[in-house]
Amino acid sequence: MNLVRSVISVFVVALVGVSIAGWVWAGAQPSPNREGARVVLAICGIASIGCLWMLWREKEASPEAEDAASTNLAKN
Amino acid sequence: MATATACSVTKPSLMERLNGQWHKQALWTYTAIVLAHWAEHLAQTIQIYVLGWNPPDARGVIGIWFPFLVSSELLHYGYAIVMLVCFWVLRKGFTGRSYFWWMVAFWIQFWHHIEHALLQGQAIVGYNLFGKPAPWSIVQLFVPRVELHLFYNTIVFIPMVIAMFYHMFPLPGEEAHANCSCAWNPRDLKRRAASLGT
Repeated sequence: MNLVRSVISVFVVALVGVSIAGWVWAGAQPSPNREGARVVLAICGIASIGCLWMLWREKEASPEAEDAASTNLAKN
Repeated sequence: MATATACSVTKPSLMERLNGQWHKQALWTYTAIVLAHWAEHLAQTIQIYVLGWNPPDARGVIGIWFPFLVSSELLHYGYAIVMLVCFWVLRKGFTGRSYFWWMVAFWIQFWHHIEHALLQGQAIVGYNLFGKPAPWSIVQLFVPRVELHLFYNTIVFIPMVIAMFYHMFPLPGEEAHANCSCAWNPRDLKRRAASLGT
Protein backbone atom coordinates (compact mmCIF):
# COMPACT_ATOMS: atom_id res chain seq x y z
CA MET A 1 0.00 0.00 0.00
CA ASN A 2 2.77 2.42 0.95
CA LEU A 3 4.58 1.76 -2.34
CA VAL A 4 1.47 2.56 -4.41
CA ARG A 5 0.58 5.72 -2.53
CA SER A 6 4.20 6.88 -2.59
CA VAL A 7 4.25 6.63 -6.41
CA ILE A 8 0.96 8.54 -6.64
CA SER A 9 2.28 11.11 -4.16
CA VAL A 10 5.28 11.89 -6.41
CA PHE A 11 2.91 13.08 -9.14
CA VAL A 12 0.68 14.94 -6.71
CA VAL A 13 3.60 16.70 -5.00
CA ALA A 14 4.85 17.75 -8.48
CA LEU A 15 1.41 19.22 -9.03
CA VAL A 16 1.58 21.16 -5.77
CA GLY A 17 4.96 22.53 -6.86
CA VAL A 18 3.64 23.56 -10.29
CA SER A 19 0.62 25.22 -8.66
CA ILE A 20 2.87 27.29 -6.38
CA ALA A 21 5.20 28.22 -9.27
CA GLY A 22 2.17 29.16 -11.38
CA TRP A 23 0.75 31.29 -8.58
CA VAL A 24 4.01 33.27 -8.42
CA TRP A 25 4.24 33.53 -12.24
CA ALA A 26 0.62 34.67 -12.56
CA GLY A 27 1.34 37.59 -10.21
CA ALA A 28 3.25 39.28 -13.04
CA GLN A 29 0.43 38.81 -15.57
CA PRO A 30 -2.09 41.52 -16.44
CA SER A 31 -5.53 41.47 -14.83
CA PRO A 32 -8.03 39.71 -15.37
CA ASN A 33 -5.82 36.76 -16.48
CA ARG A 34 -4.04 37.00 -13.14
CA GLU A 35 -7.15 36.43 -11.02
CA GLY A 36 -8.49 33.60 -13.20
CA ALA A 37 -5.16 31.80 -13.28
CA ARG A 38 -4.64 32.21 -9.54
CA VAL A 39 -8.10 30.89 -8.66
CA VAL A 40 -7.69 27.65 -10.64
CA LEU A 41 -4.08 27.18 -9.51
CA ALA A 42 -5.20 27.59 -5.90
CA ILE A 43 -7.89 24.95 -6.44
CA CYS A 44 -5.27 22.65 -8.02
CA GLY A 45 -3.01 23.07 -4.97
CA ILE A 46 -5.80 22.56 -2.42
CA ALA A 47 -7.19 19.54 -4.33
CA SER A 48 -3.70 18.02 -4.46
CA ILE A 49 -3.19 18.45 -0.72
CA GLY A 50 -6.65 16.93 -0.15
CA CYS A 51 -5.63 13.99 -2.33
CA LEU A 52 -2.45 13.43 -0.28
CA TRP A 53 -4.51 13.56 2.92
CA MET A 54 -7.01 11.00 1.60
CA LEU A 55 -4.27 8.64 0.44
CA TRP A 56 -2.23 8.73 3.62
CA ARG A 57 -5.05 8.67 6.18
CA GLU A 58 -5.88 5.05 5.25
CA LYS A 59 -4.10 2.57 7.46
CA GLU A 60 -2.82 -0.79 6.32
CA ALA A 61 -5.03 -3.54 7.72
CA SER A 62 -3.34 -5.94 10.13
CA PRO A 63 -3.50 -9.67 9.24
CA GLU A 64 -5.80 -10.21 12.27
CA ALA A 65 -8.19 -7.49 11.08
CA GLU A 66 -8.21 -8.98 7.56
CA ASP A 67 -9.00 -12.42 8.96
CA ALA A 68 -11.80 -10.96 11.10
CA ALA A 69 -13.24 -9.14 8.08
CA SER A 70 -13.07 -12.33 5.99
CA THR A 71 -14.82 -14.28 8.76
CA ASN A 72 -17.57 -11.66 9.00
CA LEU A 73 -18.03 -11.71 5.23
CA ALA A 74 -18.27 -15.51 5.28
CA LYS A 75 -20.88 -15.39 8.06
CA ASN A 76 -22.96 -12.83 6.19
CA MET B 1 -27.03 -25.49 -33.04
CA ALA B 2 -27.47 -26.42 -29.39
CA THR B 3 -23.70 -26.14 -28.87
CA ALA B 4 -23.59 -22.71 -30.48
CA THR B 5 -26.42 -21.51 -28.25
CA ALA B 6 -24.72 -22.85 -25.14
CA CYS B 7 -21.47 -21.11 -26.07
CA SER B 8 -23.17 -17.78 -26.71
CA VAL B 9 -24.79 -17.95 -23.27
CA THR B 10 -21.65 -18.73 -21.30
CA LYS B 11 -19.12 -16.59 -23.22
CA PRO B 12 -18.63 -13.23 -21.44
CA SER B 13 -19.09 -10.11 -23.55
CA LEU B 14 -16.25 -7.67 -24.25
CA MET B 15 -17.64 -5.28 -21.62
CA GLU B 16 -17.77 -8.09 -19.04
CA ARG B 17 -14.19 -9.07 -19.81
CA LEU B 18 -12.97 -5.47 -19.66
CA ASN B 19 -14.60 -5.13 -16.25
CA GLY B 20 -13.61 -8.59 -15.08
CA GLN B 21 -10.63 -10.67 -16.17
CA TRP B 22 -9.08 -7.85 -18.27
CA HIS B 23 -9.87 -4.98 -15.89
CA LYS B 24 -6.39 -4.90 -14.39
CA GLN B 25 -4.63 -4.78 -17.78
CA ALA B 26 -7.13 -2.22 -19.10
CA LEU B 27 -6.56 0.04 -16.10
CA TRP B 28 -2.77 -0.22 -16.39
CA THR B 29 -2.94 0.72 -20.08
CA TYR B 30 -5.33 3.57 -19.39
CA THR B 31 -3.17 4.84 -16.51
CA ALA B 32 -0.07 4.84 -18.75
CA ILE B 33 -1.89 6.95 -21.36
CA VAL B 34 -3.24 9.37 -18.74
CA LEU B 35 0.17 9.77 -17.09
CA ALA B 36 1.90 10.43 -20.42
CA HIS B 37 -0.63 13.16 -21.23
CA TRP B 38 -0.40 14.49 -17.70
CA ALA B 39 3.41 14.63 -17.87
CA GLU B 40 3.13 16.73 -21.05
CA HIS B 41 0.90 19.25 -19.25
CA LEU B 42 3.32 19.39 -16.31
CA ALA B 43 6.26 19.87 -18.69
CA GLN B 44 4.42 22.69 -20.46
CA THR B 45 3.70 24.52 -17.21
CA ILE B 46 7.29 24.08 -16.00
CA GLN B 47 8.50 25.58 -19.29
CA ILE B 48 6.31 28.65 -18.65
CA TYR B 49 6.52 29.08 -14.87
CA VAL B 50 10.05 27.93 -14.14
CA LEU B 51 11.99 28.33 -17.41
CA GLY B 52 10.23 31.57 -18.38
CA TRP B 53 9.23 30.51 -21.92
CA ASN B 54 6.46 32.36 -23.75
CA PRO B 55 3.18 30.37 -23.52
CA PRO B 56 2.92 29.91 -27.34
CA ASP B 57 6.45 28.40 -27.38
CA ALA B 58 5.78 26.05 -24.44
CA ARG B 59 4.61 22.85 -26.12
CA GLY B 60 5.61 20.23 -23.58
CA VAL B 61 8.14 17.57 -24.63
CA ILE B 62 6.79 15.82 -27.74
CA GLY B 63 5.17 19.05 -28.94
CA ILE B 64 8.62 20.60 -29.46
CA TRP B 65 9.29 18.15 -32.31
CA PHE B 66 5.67 17.74 -33.40
CA PRO B 67 3.98 21.16 -32.90
CA PHE B 68 0.72 19.99 -34.49
CA LEU B 69 0.17 17.78 -31.42
CA VAL B 70 -0.39 20.98 -29.42
CA SER B 71 -2.01 23.15 -32.09
CA SER B 72 -4.47 20.55 -33.45
CA GLU B 73 -7.87 20.89 -31.79
CA LEU B 74 -8.79 17.50 -33.25
CA LEU B 75 -6.10 15.70 -31.25
CA HIS B 76 -7.15 17.45 -28.02
CA TYR B 77 -10.78 16.58 -28.66
CA GLY B 78 -9.86 13.00 -29.62
CA TYR B 79 -7.95 12.53 -26.38
CA ALA B 80 -10.82 14.01 -24.33
CA ILE B 81 -13.34 11.65 -25.88
CA VAL B 82 -11.07 8.60 -25.53
CA MET B 83 -10.73 9.45 -21.83
CA LEU B 84 -14.47 9.84 -21.46
CA VAL B 85 -15.20 6.52 -23.20
CA CYS B 86 -12.61 4.70 -21.06
CA PHE B 87 -14.15 6.12 -17.87
CA TRP B 88 -17.56 4.87 -18.97
CA VAL B 89 -16.45 1.46 -20.26
CA LEU B 90 -14.33 0.59 -17.20
CA ARG B 91 -16.75 1.88 -14.56
CA LYS B 92 -18.51 -1.42 -13.79
CA GLY B 93 -15.32 -2.98 -12.46
CA PHE B 94 -15.43 -0.47 -9.59
CA THR B 95 -17.53 -0.86 -6.45
CA GLY B 96 -18.34 1.12 -3.31
CA ARG B 97 -16.16 4.12 -2.59
CA SER B 98 -13.92 3.52 -5.62
CA TYR B 99 -17.00 3.64 -7.88
CA PHE B 100 -18.07 6.97 -6.35
CA TRP B 101 -14.70 8.60 -7.07
CA TRP B 102 -14.47 7.02 -10.55
CA MET B 103 -17.84 8.58 -11.45
CA VAL B 104 -16.79 11.95 -10.00
CA ALA B 105 -13.86 11.84 -12.45
CA PHE B 106 -16.21 10.77 -15.25
CA TRP B 107 -18.60 13.72 -14.79
CA ILE B 108 -15.78 16.27 -14.58
CA GLN B 109 -14.28 14.76 -17.73
CA PHE B 110 -17.71 15.03 -19.35
CA TRP B 111 -17.63 18.82 -18.92
CA HIS B 112 -13.97 18.95 -20.02
CA HIS B 113 -15.00 17.10 -23.19
CA ILE B 114 -17.83 19.62 -23.82
CA GLU B 115 -15.29 22.45 -23.68
CA HIS B 116 -13.05 20.62 -26.18
CA ALA B 117 -16.08 19.93 -28.40
CA LEU B 118 -16.76 23.68 -28.47
CA LEU B 119 -13.15 24.33 -29.51
CA GLN B 120 -13.26 21.59 -32.13
CA GLY B 121 -16.58 22.89 -33.49
CA GLN B 122 -15.08 26.35 -33.98
CA ALA B 123 -12.03 24.87 -35.71
CA ILE B 124 -14.29 22.92 -38.13
CA VAL B 125 -16.70 25.77 -38.88
CA GLY B 126 -13.96 28.38 -39.08
CA TYR B 127 -15.82 30.81 -36.85
CA ASN B 128 -14.56 31.74 -33.38
CA LEU B 129 -16.98 32.43 -30.55
CA PHE B 130 -16.97 35.63 -28.49
CA GLY B 131 -15.17 37.53 -31.27
CA LYS B 132 -11.85 35.94 -30.27
CA PRO B 133 -8.89 35.51 -32.66
CA ALA B 134 -8.74 31.73 -32.00
CA PRO B 135 -11.17 28.99 -30.91
CA TRP B 136 -12.33 29.85 -27.39
CA SER B 137 -14.17 27.85 -24.71
CA ILE B 138 -16.63 29.15 -22.10
CA VAL B 139 -14.45 28.99 -18.99
CA GLN B 140 -11.54 30.32 -21.07
CA LEU B 141 -13.34 33.67 -20.90
CA PHE B 142 -12.21 33.83 -17.28
CA VAL B 143 -9.09 31.65 -17.13
CA PRO B 144 -6.11 31.48 -19.55
CA ARG B 145 -5.96 28.29 -21.60
CA VAL B 146 -2.78 26.74 -20.15
CA GLU B 147 -3.97 27.13 -16.54
CA LEU B 148 -7.51 26.06 -17.43
CA HIS B 149 -6.45 22.76 -18.97
CA LEU B 150 -3.93 22.12 -16.19
CA PHE B 151 -6.88 22.64 -13.85
CA TYR B 152 -9.21 20.33 -15.80
CA ASN B 153 -6.62 17.57 -15.96
CA THR B 154 -5.91 17.96 -12.24
CA ILE B 155 -9.53 17.72 -11.12
CA VAL B 156 -10.02 14.65 -13.32
CA PHE B 157 -6.72 13.01 -12.34
CA ILE B 158 -7.19 13.35 -8.56
CA PRO B 159 -10.57 11.54 -8.21
CA MET B 160 -9.31 9.00 -10.75
CA VAL B 161 -6.25 8.04 -8.68
CA ILE B 162 -8.31 8.01 -5.48
CA ALA B 163 -10.75 5.62 -7.20
CA MET B 164 -7.87 3.40 -8.33
CA PHE B 165 -6.34 3.45 -4.85
CA TYR B 166 -9.60 2.29 -3.22
CA HIS B 167 -9.99 -0.25 -6.01
CA MET B 168 -6.55 -1.71 -5.32
CA PHE B 169 -7.02 -1.52 -1.55
CA PRO B 170 -10.77 -1.98 -1.01
CA LEU B 171 -12.44 -1.03 2.23
CA PRO B 172 -13.62 -3.94 4.42
CA GLY B 173 -16.75 -5.44 2.90
CA GLU B 174 -16.19 -4.00 -0.58
CA GLU B 175 -13.58 -6.51 -1.77
CA ALA B 176 -16.16 -9.27 -2.17
CA HIS B 177 -18.02 -7.25 -4.81
CA ALA B 178 -15.10 -6.82 -7.18
CA ASN B 179 -15.06 -9.25 -10.12
CA CYS B 180 -11.52 -8.44 -11.20
CA SER B 181 -8.01 -9.20 -9.95
CA CYS B 182 -7.05 -5.56 -9.31
CA ALA B 183 -7.09 -5.79 -5.49
CA TRP B 184 -3.47 -5.74 -4.34
CA ASN B 185 -2.79 -7.70 -1.21
CA PRO B 186 0.78 -9.03 -1.09
CA ARG B 187 0.34 -10.23 2.52
CA ASP B 188 -2.60 -12.39 1.51
CA LEU B 189 -0.60 -13.73 -1.44
CA LYS B 190 2.24 -14.66 0.94
CA ARG B 191 -0.21 -16.50 3.19
CA ARG B 192 -1.66 -18.40 0.24
CA ALA B 193 1.82 -19.29 -1.01
CA ALA B 194 2.76 -20.52 2.47
CA SER B 195 -0.39 -22.64 2.69
CA LEU B 196 0.49 -24.22 -0.68
CA GLY B 197 4.01 -24.93 0.59
CA THR B 198 5.74 -22.83 -2.09
